[in-house]
Amino acid sequence: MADRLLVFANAEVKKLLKEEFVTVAADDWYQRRRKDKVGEFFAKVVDQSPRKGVHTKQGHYIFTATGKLLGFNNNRGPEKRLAMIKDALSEWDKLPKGVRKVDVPEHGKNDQGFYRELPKGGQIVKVYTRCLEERSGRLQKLADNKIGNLSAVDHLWLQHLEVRQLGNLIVSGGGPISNAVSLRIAKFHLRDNTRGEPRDWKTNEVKEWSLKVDGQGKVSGNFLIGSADGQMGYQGKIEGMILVDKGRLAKFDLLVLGKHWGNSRYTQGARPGKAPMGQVFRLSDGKRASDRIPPQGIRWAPGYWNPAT
Amino acid sequence: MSLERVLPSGKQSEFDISWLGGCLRDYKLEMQNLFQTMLIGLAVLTSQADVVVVNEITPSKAESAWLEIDWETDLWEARKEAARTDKPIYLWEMDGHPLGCV
Repeated sequence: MADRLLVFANAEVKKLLKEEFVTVAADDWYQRRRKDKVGEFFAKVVDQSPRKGVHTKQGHYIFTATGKLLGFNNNRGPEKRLAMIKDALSEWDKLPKGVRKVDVPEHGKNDQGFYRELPKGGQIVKVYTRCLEERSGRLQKLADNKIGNLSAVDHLWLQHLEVRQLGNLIVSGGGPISNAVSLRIAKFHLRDNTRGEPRDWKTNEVKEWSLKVDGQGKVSGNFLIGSADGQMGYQGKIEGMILVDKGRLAKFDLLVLGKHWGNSRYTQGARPGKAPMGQVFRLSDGKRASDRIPPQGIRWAPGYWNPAT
Repeated sequence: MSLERVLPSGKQSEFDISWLGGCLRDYKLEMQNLFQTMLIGLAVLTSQADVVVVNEITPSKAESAWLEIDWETDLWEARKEAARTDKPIYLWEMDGHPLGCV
């Protein structure tokens, strides 16, 4: 996330990207594995870069629609990134039209093993997570110089049938939210993703869990989730409101407040002991491409949709 | 009007504006409505602390500045767009979606 702030908030970088490029962002975990036309095209670009033969393909690439690489950089400094962008634009300007233009055909079937899309009729809930600390008698975001001070973003995906079931539950006076939705939230979304990619919780790590909605749509719950050795966990409560109108979510607002502790493999640097963390769930209309990126926890799709397994 | 300016610093109790004083009795209702409007859709969360903490958790405008760039999420669509507009492609590739959690 520091990358976003350092580089993309830079006025000159932002202006150049907005005006001179088609910008695209992708999850390397999927893209480098895809066995389809998209994967082939990406591999063609990568093979011209220092990432050729390297396991990870992470970085920033500039290339033509024909796949000719013009620049690569994986440095977080705005100056180096800016220099790479300008150099690539200079290369672009030298290219004959024939190298720049290409008729792009349809790419055919996506490799379903490494491609995720929201099921038809499904809905998206944005999930914001931030480490908090108590200052001046209230919970506030961490001071700017502390690791994990930024708000992390993920997306909860709900299927159309699940939304209808939620609506029926509310109309019938309320009760516990179904395991599919409830455990999906617990295992894949009540996580500390403020310092990188956290691992998913296992079902048996959800030690205490309750999430219910009443007949007015008011949501309440509490939870204790933690690793068997007690080295990593999250405990807290949930409040919110869910409204369903004509089978579609009209509101899905949750506030989660609790204390978290510990690191996972890719989320080192946690604060010592148990410290406050907060999450906000909010319905998204999915209009922006950035709203439609898959949930982090859906890499193993069957587990995401059937979290009790 | 920010909540921080309206509310006494450090107030953590459930939604309660009695501290405004008797002469502001009618104002209480007005303020209550205001606070509820300011819940940014979290209509059920009626404690002052909840309102403030929601704003603490969600991204600030400065944090979201990178979203002013119109990111595509499909490389093939970006390729088609680049061919159509005669522009180069800028790809931001990360393990964990760059527009997501990390």
